[in-house]
Amino acid sequence: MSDYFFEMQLLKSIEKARKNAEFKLKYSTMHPEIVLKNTLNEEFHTLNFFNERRLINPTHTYINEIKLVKVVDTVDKHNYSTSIYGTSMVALGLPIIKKRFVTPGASRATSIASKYLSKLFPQTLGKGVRILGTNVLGRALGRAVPYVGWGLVAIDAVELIIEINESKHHDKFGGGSFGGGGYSSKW
Amino acid sequence: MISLVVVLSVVVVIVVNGNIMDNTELYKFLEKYTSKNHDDSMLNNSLSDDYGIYGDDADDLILDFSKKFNVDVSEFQIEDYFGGEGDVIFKFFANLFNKQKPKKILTINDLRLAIISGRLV
Repeated sequence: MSDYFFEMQLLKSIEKARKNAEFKLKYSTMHPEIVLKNTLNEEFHTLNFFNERRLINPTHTYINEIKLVKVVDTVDKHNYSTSIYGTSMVALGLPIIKKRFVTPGASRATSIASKYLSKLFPQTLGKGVRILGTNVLGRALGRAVPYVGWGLVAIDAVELIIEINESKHHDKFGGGSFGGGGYSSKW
Repeated sequence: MISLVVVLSVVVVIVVNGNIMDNTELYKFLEKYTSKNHDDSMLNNSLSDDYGIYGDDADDLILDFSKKFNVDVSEFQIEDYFGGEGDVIFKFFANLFNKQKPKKILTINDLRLAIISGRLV
């Protein structure tokens, strides 16, 4: 049980050291590994475990290597699933299903989303209620599908632009996040 | 002379009453598609511009109108009056490269006249 509490204290100290190092790196030109080691030392000194053993450099004794691996979100690693879903939804809203209108030679087209959702939900919305120009529930849903698709594509485009911009400024560690133990991190 | 006037008056009343009856039924019919109540002051309202009817709703309206009022719509070019179903944003971009001619206007009065004549063109 005491081991468990010690481990929790240790993890908390590491996390605190991480945040302190992150903050210091904004104003320091020192190497990030050195800054992190110093903040870890400062935090470990507050723990009784290290004090009792009168350890001057706990990190030297207990952490042989602090290796920082820089992980940069790049365009190559971008997850395009949002764009794929969005584009699919836009495609479902395109008027690609031909249908014969009563006028000879005239044909109209409808979208997959409108056609099948209006069959699935043929109910009317209620007196006086019209959404996206219709009072048929399924048709309203079908007309909303491409809007949602365009929204997803736009969100993904913005994320991609941000990632491209961030990858240009990743030659220094200012503002990066790091961690250890059980915390998720970029280092 | 007096009898002629009486006969003409009766004819006018029959025609006017016939038109009023048609209008009431027409308005009830349109309420299903526009979700609004109608009266004679709205005869010049455009189905697409004033009520936003387009796509599959327009197709259903014209076909139902044809069946209910026994109106021939075989020569009606619906594409000239109503936009098609489908993604509005995509159509906006498509129209930037392929300018479409403006849509014609179909009013409630046009439908009323189609009921009287039996044809919508």
